[in-house]
Amino acid sequence: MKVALCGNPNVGKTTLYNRLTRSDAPTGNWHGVTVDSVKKRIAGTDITLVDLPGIYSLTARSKEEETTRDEVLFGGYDAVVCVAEVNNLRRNLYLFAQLGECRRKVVLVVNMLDEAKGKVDLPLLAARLGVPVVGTSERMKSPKEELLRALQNASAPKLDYLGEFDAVKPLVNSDKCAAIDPRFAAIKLCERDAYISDMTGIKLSSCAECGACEKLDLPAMRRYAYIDKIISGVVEKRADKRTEKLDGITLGKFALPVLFAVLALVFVITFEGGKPLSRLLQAGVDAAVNAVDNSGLQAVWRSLFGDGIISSVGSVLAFLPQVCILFVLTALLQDSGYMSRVAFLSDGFFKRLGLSGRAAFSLVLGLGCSVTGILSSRGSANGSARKRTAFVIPFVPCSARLAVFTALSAYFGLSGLVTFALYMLGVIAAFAVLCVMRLFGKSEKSDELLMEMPPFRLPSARRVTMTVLGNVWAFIKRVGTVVLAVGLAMWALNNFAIGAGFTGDAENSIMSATSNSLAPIFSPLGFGNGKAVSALISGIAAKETVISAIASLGGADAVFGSTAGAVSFMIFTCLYIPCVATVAALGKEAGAGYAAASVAVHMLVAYLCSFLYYGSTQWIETNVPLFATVWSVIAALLLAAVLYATIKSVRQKKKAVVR
Amino acid sequence: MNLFDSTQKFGTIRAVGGDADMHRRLVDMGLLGSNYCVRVRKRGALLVDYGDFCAVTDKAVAERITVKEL
Repeated sequence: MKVALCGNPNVGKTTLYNRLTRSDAPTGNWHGVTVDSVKKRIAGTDITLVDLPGIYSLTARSKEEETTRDEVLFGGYDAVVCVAEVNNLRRNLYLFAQLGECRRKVVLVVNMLDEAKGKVDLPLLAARLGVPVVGTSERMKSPKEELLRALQNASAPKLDYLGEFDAVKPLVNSDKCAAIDPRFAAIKLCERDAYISDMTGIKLSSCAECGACEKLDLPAMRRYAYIDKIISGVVEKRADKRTEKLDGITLGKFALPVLFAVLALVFVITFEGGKPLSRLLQAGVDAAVNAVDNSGLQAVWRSLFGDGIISSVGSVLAFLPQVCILFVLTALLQDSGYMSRVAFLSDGFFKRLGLSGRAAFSLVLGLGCSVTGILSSRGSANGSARKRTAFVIPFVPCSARLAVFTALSAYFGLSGLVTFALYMLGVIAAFAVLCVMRLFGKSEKSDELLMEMPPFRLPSARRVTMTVLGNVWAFIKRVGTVVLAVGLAMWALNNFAIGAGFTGDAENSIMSATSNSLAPIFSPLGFGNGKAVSALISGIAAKETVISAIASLGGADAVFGSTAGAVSFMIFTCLYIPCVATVAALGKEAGAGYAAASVAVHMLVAYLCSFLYYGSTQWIETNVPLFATVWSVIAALLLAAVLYATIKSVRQKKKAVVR
Repeated sequence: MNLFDSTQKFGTIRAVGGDADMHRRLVDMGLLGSNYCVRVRKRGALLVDYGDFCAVTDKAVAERITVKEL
């Protein structure tokens, strides 16, 4: 049996899917988390469950909505499980009504019962709808048994308004749309649905042509009239005071200070909170390497186990605490509903770049992994906005780059603010590139935002744990596969010479010839040596391997001549070529041209920023009084500008209130 | 009067304009005839409570929604 799982965005479809199939598909308290269909068998049954992206109606607007529409209409499912949120039944049942119009066998799942604002009468709802209704929430036991029983009794909903559109049915040529119900096609034609029009070859230009309706919106009005009759007395409604109060704080006059405070807190907790355990892990790695060095093995085996394996993998895993903390904090923010507020706050800013606040979601997801951020850009209906968002996501430092920053910062005794500054640099670079694309690209209609704001809720411990465990496992798997493989390859290239076998000398190795030839290019950036270049080359496979490469090449002392050179290297690592997986994802979503351009732009921006930084440090060293004067003047001007903007804004608001 | 220019916090939605695509989306979301409350106003968008749900409504969209103020 093949069953589709559909419903509005953010109603809990994927959470339900994960529970039924024992999976760990990504979830979040915002729209657009699921961007493609995933399928798996329900544990212990022969039922294949397919999780589809959220959709408000069978009139699709974005790529992910088209996926769901096509699956529902042509996927050949034995039944459809329509998931609805208990506090949004009226709107969620709109899709349910359309499933009835296309005669799908449906089971309704009413989710999030624990968040119901009042009493809910599910038996009454089932009796009125004429289909099985299952109530569930994350805190209740798995609805698997009840759902399996309900699926045996799945039926097409009985709708009381379908007869009004019989007049249109004869217009629908059944040869052209044999795959869909002619009555459904007729209703969609009344709505001027472009997709059904193209499929049937029929375009109704006026209601006089079908004679069935006086208004374009009659089908929608009939659906809501039907729904209002159904839910009357089923759900007792109460106001959501918590969300109202929190929106007053997070979206009111203190919105931006709250946002910056939250972001700063995330970084401080990530960097400082993970330090003690990270130091412990690093000490363990060092102890293991020392043990191998003193083991009495042959030089080649000591080097392989010590530098090639333990150092390369251990040096990355030593920063797992910081990565875990970042995953936990971003999962908490996502699950609470705050991330949607961030999109609203940043919407005005993104509008100037030709995007919408929806781009903020993708950029935030890029903090974990650029590939995830790029995939989430599918939620944008505007094709150009989608490509531009995907193009700049790799500028936002991912968790792999965090490992590099924390490793080098820890070694050189730099504060967590340096890591924070690098993140800001990545975000600023992303915005700068977007500005340039807007200036020189074709002017397109901005991606308009009509975005549902989910309610604030207490993050679910179970959901956050599953999200974090999934991300951590993916990180560890990457370390155990890509990082280990690249680490071993780098070890071999740095310890073997052509014609001489194992030398244990990186200066006369296979890699040194290539990296030494490229090293002069990086001299103006402060790290013009073969070892630093080797580390950068290894980072193309996965950014975590930069640390393992540095470890296997003798450590930060051997690679960097100065702290300024190390910081310049961190800036370059923050901005240069994305990893292979990211470039592949970008190529798939935006085309090979975009992927190639992305590689070139990243290299250019990385080189420029590193050059500016290192050049200025060299200049400052010889011109300290002048530097202090210049920066004091700049700081004073910035402060004056901020004060002026604040005073002006307050005066404008006062004038608006008086009017 | 449209939703963006309305100075009142509460009202009822009378009609929805825009291109075919946006019109269909707003009607499908049940806006026609619904009561609303403007929670937050920004220069380019509004956060509006439509009764069943809250949504960020872009200025370009809000200007196409005709309302009757309460």
